[in-house]
Amino acid sequence: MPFKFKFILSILIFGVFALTGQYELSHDLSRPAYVAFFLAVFMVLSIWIFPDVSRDAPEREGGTQ
Amino acid sequence: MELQHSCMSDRQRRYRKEYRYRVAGWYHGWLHLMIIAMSGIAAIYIYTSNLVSVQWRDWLALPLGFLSYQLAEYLLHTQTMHRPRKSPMLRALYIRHTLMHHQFFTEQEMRFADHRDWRVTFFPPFTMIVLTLLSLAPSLTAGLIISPNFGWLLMTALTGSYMFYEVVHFCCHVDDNWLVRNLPIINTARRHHQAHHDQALMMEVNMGIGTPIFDWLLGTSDLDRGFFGHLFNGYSSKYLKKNLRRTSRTPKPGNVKIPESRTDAH
Amino acid sequence: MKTYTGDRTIDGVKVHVDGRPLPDKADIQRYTDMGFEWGYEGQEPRQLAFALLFDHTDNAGLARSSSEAFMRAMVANLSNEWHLTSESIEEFLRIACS
Repeated sequence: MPFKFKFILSILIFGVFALTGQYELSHDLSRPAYVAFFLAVFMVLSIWIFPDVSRDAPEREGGTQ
Repeated sequence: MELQHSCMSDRQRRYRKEYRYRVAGWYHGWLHLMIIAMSGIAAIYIYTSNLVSVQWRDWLALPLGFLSYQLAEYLLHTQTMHRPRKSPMLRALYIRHTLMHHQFFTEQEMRFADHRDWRVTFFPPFTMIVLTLLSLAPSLTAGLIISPNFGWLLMTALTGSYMFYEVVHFCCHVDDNWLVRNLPIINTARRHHQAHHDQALMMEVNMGIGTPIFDWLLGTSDLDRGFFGHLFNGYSSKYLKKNLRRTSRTPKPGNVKIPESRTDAH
Repeated sequence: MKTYTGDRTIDGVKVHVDGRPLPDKADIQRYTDMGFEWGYEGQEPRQLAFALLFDHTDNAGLARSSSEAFMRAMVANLSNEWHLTSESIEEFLRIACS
């Protein structure tokens, strides 16, 4: 996945779960809040560390669409 | 590592070898599974922690969310994974699915060899992220219009449906055993999905994975059965349609019916 | 006699004529921008049908008018990897025009 898309998704999902965590704290739900903060970090990490199918192919003849 | 006893073609064998070469060396299937499971379970825990005094109408979010997910899965599969699109993101889905998943697994060999092949079986972690983001708008809207409980349950249903899909799809690619052969829904999905992996049918037939609901509804199933027959068909091939497409490596014009209309539609 | 081959590979869909990439001829007739595909009825198979017919006949009008029928009769029934010759395309045109 291109860097740009990973970066945008990271910002968005971090924001969503961080805000969710804040919301939970404001409603005295501390455990779900900490899980939300954990998820915010966990999900971002998961998309950056996950390997792509990308190793360079050997030179081939013919066109690719 | 490859399966020792398999009737896969040489072409499929070569493809699988090439694919494994291309996956970055450290990939670990159990880690992949753990990421999906932890994300999903944690998210569902957060959503359900917010439920207070749930009314009967709030529970309707569960079947609504489940059916919405089934429809989205069907449409995404039909319109994007099996059709090249211009957008790079959508095109990537087509490449990963038709040009990778469907070449790695065919109706002759549906199994992965070990956890390293789960890379081509499970969706990557960003799927849960995209699903969560796409679920926000309808769930927030439902939460404001109907009730907060409805909104939280809708998020729960959508996330849970994705995890249901991963479980069912995984079961479609494991070795046959007593459990998957006899569990309803799973056994149906296995036969349904294996038929979909027939490269003659994969572009048009059996596009639902978790359930065949929308294949039945929209006529893209390979079975000639009713709704409950579809859901609980199991491994039976008694009700296959007779007019399914049969592709050929070298179709002969004399063997195919020339359509009546030859006018250019454009 | 020309030989046309198609395959879905890890690096993309590949269609060749006598070992060279088959041009999509979208500059002459564009049914889609998405490239070639086959095994179903749609715009990408139709583009492939047109490209095959044009390469064989060098006649844009004939290729255009026959592309839909050729797509439905042949391209939509091509398997995952396939192999056609100019002989089979010629036979199709003979049957279609009779």
